[in-house]
Amino acid sequence: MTRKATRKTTNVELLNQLRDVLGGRRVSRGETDRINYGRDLWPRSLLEVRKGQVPHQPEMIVWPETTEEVSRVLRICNEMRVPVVPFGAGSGLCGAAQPMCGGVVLDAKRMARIERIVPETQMIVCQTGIIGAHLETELNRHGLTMGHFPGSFGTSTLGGYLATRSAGMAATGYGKIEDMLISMQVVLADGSVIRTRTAPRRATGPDFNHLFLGSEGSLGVITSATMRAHMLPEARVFRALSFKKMDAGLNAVRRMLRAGLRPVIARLSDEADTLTTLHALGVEAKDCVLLLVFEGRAVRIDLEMKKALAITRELGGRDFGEATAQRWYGRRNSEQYRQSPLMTDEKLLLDTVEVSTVWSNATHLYTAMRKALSKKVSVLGVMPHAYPEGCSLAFTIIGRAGRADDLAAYDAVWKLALDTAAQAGGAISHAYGIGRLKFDRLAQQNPAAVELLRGMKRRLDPNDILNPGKLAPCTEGAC
Amino acid sequence: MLKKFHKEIEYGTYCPKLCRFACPVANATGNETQTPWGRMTLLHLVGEGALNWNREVSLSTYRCTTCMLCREYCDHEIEVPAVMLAAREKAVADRMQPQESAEFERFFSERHNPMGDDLAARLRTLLPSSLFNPDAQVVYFPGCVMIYNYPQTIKNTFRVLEAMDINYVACYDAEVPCCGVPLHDQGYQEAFAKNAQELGRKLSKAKVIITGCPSCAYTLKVQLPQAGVQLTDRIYHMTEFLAPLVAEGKLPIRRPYTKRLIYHDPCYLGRYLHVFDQPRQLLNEVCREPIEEFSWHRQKSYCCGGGGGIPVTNPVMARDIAQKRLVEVHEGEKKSLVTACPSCMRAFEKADDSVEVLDVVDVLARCI
Repeated sequence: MTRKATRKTTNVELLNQLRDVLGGRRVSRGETDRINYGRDLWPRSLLEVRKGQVPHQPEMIVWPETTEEVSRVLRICNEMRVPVVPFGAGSGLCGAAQPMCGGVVLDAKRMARIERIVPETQMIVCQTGIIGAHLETELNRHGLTMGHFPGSFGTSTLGGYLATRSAGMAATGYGKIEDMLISMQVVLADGSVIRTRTAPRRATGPDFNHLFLGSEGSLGVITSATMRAHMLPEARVFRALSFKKMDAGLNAVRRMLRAGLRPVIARLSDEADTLTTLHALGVEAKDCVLLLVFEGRAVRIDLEMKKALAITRELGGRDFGEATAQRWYGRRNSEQYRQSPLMTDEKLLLDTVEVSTVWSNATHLYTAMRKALSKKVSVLGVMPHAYPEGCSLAFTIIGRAGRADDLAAYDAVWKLALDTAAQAGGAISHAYGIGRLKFDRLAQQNPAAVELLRGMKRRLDPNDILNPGKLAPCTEGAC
Repeated sequence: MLKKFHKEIEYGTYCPKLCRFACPVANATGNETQTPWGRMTLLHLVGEGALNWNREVSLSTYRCTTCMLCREYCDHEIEVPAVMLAAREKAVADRMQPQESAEFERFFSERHNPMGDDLAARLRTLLPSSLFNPDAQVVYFPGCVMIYNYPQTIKNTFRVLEAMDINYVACYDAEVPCCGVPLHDQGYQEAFAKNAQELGRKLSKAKVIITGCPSCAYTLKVQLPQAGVQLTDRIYHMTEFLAPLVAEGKLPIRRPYTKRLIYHDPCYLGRYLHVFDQPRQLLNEVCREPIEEFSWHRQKSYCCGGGGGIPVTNPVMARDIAQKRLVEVHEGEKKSLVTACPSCMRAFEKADDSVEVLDVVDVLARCI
C-alpha cells in the first residue's frame, strides 16, 4: 500500500491539539519516553539496543483514558496525516508495536477500567488497556478465571491479546483469546466508533470481531471488550510423562484430544528442551517430556487423567509422576527470564520461532524445522499447545554472531525458519502475530488474502495512519 | 557509582519485564519509561554512550518508590531500588537532581528534619518528662513522621506500654529527630552520613531500640552500618516488641475492637524486615472481627506510594498509587485501614480523607 499521507502539521501544532484533548500530563515528547516506546520485546530490537540503538522512535506518546479520547486523538491525527501506533504493554515479539514511521504512540494502559463482572453468566466487560495479571486478579476475586496465561502475563494487555490473536499457556483447555471474545468496541482511523453486539453466536452476517482480531492495530483501536470468563477450577492434577521420540508424544496428545480429553496444558518438550529448559527448572527427566495438567471438577479430571495415562501406556510412555510436573508448573514462567543472561553475552542471539499445523503434518513440520535450523543454531523444540485438529510447535533458537553481523545473522536464521515452515506446510505464526518480522513471508504465502487485507485497510484507513508498515506495508510516502 | 550495577542494568534492559504489573509507579502512570525495564534501558544506553546522562534521564530514576515488589517477580532477584538510589547519588553529584529534591535537601539541612519544625520541643510537650531518660538502655525512637503527624500514636504507644506494666522504655529526646532516610532516598549520601554520625552519638548508649516506623527501623538497622555507624543490633519495630508480650497475656484487654479492619503491610516492615505475622497477631488478639486482607498482601503487598521520596518529587504520582491501593478498602462493608507505618498512614490520608487510617498501636490502645 502506498502511503497517501503527507504530513499536514508541525509537531508543535500536533502537540497543542493533543494537549487540548488530554492535558499536558498525558502527552509526552520527552527523549526518554521516545526511546522506551521505540521498541517492544522483539528480540531483533534487543540486538539493536545491545549496541545502543533504538532506530525507530515515535515523536510523541499519548495516554487516553476513554474511547471518546481515543476517538478525538485519531480524528486529529487523521486530519493531520500523522501515524498512530496503538500500544499495550510492549511485550510483542515481532515488532508490531514499533513506530516504523514515527508519529504518535497511543498507549492504552490508562484505559484499564473494569466496567462490569457478571459471575452468573461468566462475563466481563472492561477497557482493553488492562494488564492480564490485573484482570485475572480481579476475576479470581469473583470466583472466575480468564484461562488466558501467556508467558507475558505480567506485561501484556487485553487489547494486545486481541490484536495479535494471542494464546495462553492453557490454550489447549481454554482456547485462544478469540475463543473468549464476545464483543468489542473499536475506534476507526477517522475517529468513528463501532461496537459489535453482545449476543451469543450471532448469525447476522460476517462477524466483525474477526476483522479486528489479529489486526495488530492497523485497522482500528480496540478500546473495550466483553469477554467470556470461566469458573475457577475446583482442583488441578499434574503428570509428567516421557517418550523416546517426539512422534510418540505428539501421537499421544492427538489421541487424548480425539478421546474427548481436555488437558488445560499439554506441553511436549523434545530431548534438547528437556535437557536444557526443563532441567534448569528443576525437572529431572529425560527424552521427550509431556507435561499434562487437567483442571476443573475433581471427579472429572481424575477420570480424564486416568484415561490419558492409559493412552500414554499404550504408546510406550514412561510416567514420571505428579511432583515433577508440579515443579515445572510452579516455575512455568521462569523460562522467560533466560534471555537476560544470554543477551549479556555479546556473541549470542536468540528468539523463538512458533508455527502450527494439522496433526497429519506435525511430525514432518517438526522434523523439517529442526533439521534446517540445527545447521545454523542450537534448537530447543516444544509443542506448547494442542487442539483437536492440530498443534503449535515452538523452536527456541540460540545462535552465535559477532556484534558487527548479528542483525544479518538474525535475519538469515529467520528467513530460513519461515521458508522451511512454509515449505513444510506450517502456518508461520500461531500466537505471536506478524508484526514487522513476518509480513514479507505472509505476503508471499497468501498473496490473495493479503490483497484483500490491503483493500480493507484502504477502506478503513485511507490515509494509512494506523500502525503503518504492519500487515499492509508502507512502501513509500511521508515517513 | 553505577558501574557496580552493570549486571542489574544489563539484565533489566534485556528482561521480559514480567514485574511490570507489580510496579506501583508503572501502574499509576501507564508509562513504559516508569518500569524497571524502561529505567534500566536508559541507564544501559547511557553506559553505551548512546544517550547523554542528563536531567531527563536522572528524573526517571526518581520515579521508584523503592518498594521492591518487582524483585518478587524477578527470577534473577534484581534489586532495582539499589540501582535507582545509586543513580540518584550520581544525579546529586552532577547537580541533576529534581528541583524539588534540591529544595528538600536545603530545607532538611537548615532544620535537621523534613518537617521544619522543632520536633524535640513537640515531643517534650507531648509526653511527661519522666519518660525521657538519656541514660536509658531501652529507647523508643518515634521518628520524625510520627512526631509531626501522629502524636496521638506516640501517646498511645506509652499508654499500651503502661497498661502492660512496662516502665523501662524511655522516649528518645529527638534532638536529631530523623533517621535520615529522606536524604538517603533522594541521593544525598554525604548529608545522610553526617546525620547518621550525629544520630549514632545520640543513640550510642541504647542497648535496645524500638520504633514505630519501619523506615526508621530499617535505616537504623541496615543503612546506618553501611554509612559506618554501628548501633545496637537489637533494633525492633514496635509490633515485633509487643507481639510476644501480648501473646503472653500482658495486655489487659477491657473491650474488643469491634469495627472491621483491613491490614496493609508496609513495604519496609514486610519485604525489607520480614515482619508479617506480628502486626496480625496483635490485631487478632484484640479484634472481634477477622482482619481482612488485601488481594496483594504479605510478601506481595502493594506500595502506598509514600516511599522512595516520591511524595517530595512526584506528589501526584504518590497520590495515584495510594488511591489505587485504597480501592479495595471502599469495597464491601465499611472498614478502616490499619497499618504499622506512619509514612503509609500519611500517604493514605493525603490521598483520601474519607478513609479512617490507624496504626496497630492505636487499635490496641482503644481496647485497654
